[in-house]
Amino acid sequence: MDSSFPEEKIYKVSELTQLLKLTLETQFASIAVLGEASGVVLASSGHLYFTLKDAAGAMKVVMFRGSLQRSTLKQLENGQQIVVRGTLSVYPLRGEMQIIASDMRLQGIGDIYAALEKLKKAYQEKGYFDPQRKKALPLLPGRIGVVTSPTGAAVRDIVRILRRRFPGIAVIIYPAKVQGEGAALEIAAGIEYFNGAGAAVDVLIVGRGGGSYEDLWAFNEAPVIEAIYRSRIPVISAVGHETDFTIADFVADLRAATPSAAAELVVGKKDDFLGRIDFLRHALMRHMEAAWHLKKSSLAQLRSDSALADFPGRLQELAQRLDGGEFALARLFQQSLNRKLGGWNRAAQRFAAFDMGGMVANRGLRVENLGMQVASRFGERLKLSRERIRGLDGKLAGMDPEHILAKGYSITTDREQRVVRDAAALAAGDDIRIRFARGTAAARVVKE
Amino acid sequence: MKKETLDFEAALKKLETIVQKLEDPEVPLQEGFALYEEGMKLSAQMKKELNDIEKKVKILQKDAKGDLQESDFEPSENE
Repeated sequence: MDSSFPEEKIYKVSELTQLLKLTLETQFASIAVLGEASGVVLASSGHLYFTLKDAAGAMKVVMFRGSLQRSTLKQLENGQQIVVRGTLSVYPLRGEMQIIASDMRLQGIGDIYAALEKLKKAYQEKGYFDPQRKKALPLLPGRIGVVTSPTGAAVRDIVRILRRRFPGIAVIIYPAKVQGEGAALEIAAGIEYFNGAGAAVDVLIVGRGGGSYEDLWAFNEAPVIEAIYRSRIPVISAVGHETDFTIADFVADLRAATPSAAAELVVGKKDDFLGRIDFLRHALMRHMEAAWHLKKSSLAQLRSDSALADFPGRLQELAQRLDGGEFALARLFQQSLNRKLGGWNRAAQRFAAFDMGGMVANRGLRVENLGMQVASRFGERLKLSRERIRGLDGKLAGMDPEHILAKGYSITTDREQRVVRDAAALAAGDDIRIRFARGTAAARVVKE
Repeated sequence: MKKETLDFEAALKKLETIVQKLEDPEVPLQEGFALYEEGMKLSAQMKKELNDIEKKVKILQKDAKGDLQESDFEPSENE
């Protein structure tokens, strides 16, 4: 059967989409479109997808990774008014029209950027950003002052992170309007308040969360810049996102990329402080132990060290005190026993009147036995203590130089009577004295 | 409050100096003991001070007379 419409051209779908693509890309090769970004998605491939819209229209936009890297605006957020440059095209697989963007920038940013650069240059020339003006941050601030909005994400992030890093650290917030009419004056008043008497803060965080360039503008205004410049207290600026820069960032003593980053910078972790102290304590113990071993290994030092030389004397004193204690205790024990026996005897006499004499006498005997048992156990314990002390005495005697000399060792001293521990301390021809278990001999070093 | 923190920074420096001194094997035993005791005492004090810090987050608010007063602050979960 012949076709009813022989003159009609029938396209395949792919032919049509290709034709459309070619037509659009030729006719609209380079266009600029103004609209609001929405549905912004950065794919894992690095390509950026979003929809550009206004009150009565919408258009899909793709910006490939390479273009995004070169783009004036690199971080796009929903709701931003932007101008997109690119080519109108068709995505053949779906037959959808889209703009392939080559560049995008915030609407009006050109003016703001120029103004910012001019301001920056002016303050720079006045020396407001001089590195030597920057104040050092305290290692551990007693109290941290924060100038920001009491309701924004910034204050929440700062408080959360500070509590995590250093539980119990003191924070004081000066609530300030951070955008719109009067914001700059409120922020400046906060900085001045903390610099006044009685506020007692050691460091300041001044900032707010992310927003458009207009939202962050207060941090470029003279009252804020002057207040930071005059602050005696170190100021950390914490405005917006990583990519946002304000004049406050340049004049502050330290610029934090975000309010969260400011909280991380302002104080170390409590655990790190404690860890550092523990590390130093261990170093102290290690060094002390090493020093002790070094000294202990030197015999002469051992004898001359007054505390140690005195040790046998102290032991004797201790033994004497123990003996004294023994007598005193025995006396006390005897007294108490006598009292008890006396009581029993009196009771026995009373009971004897009732003709129970035999029974009472028996009890009296048992008490006496008990007393003897206790006394002998006490004596045993004393004997044990004495033996332990004698053991110590023996050990100490082993450390006595005389004892060691008796084993056949000798001690060499130099002309100044110093004990020689290292042959390197001697030179050929040096006069030395050698002390033996019995007697000493004078000698001369022949060879080093 | 301010003094406490300055003390901490100075104390840490002092502790580090003590450790450095004690590191030297030539330090006489008597002096070493004194350094050791001073360091242990100082570090214990520093640890105690750190652990004793228990302050709060405060916010400034104007009272009826318009003067700024400190009161406890808890950030709201939602913006």
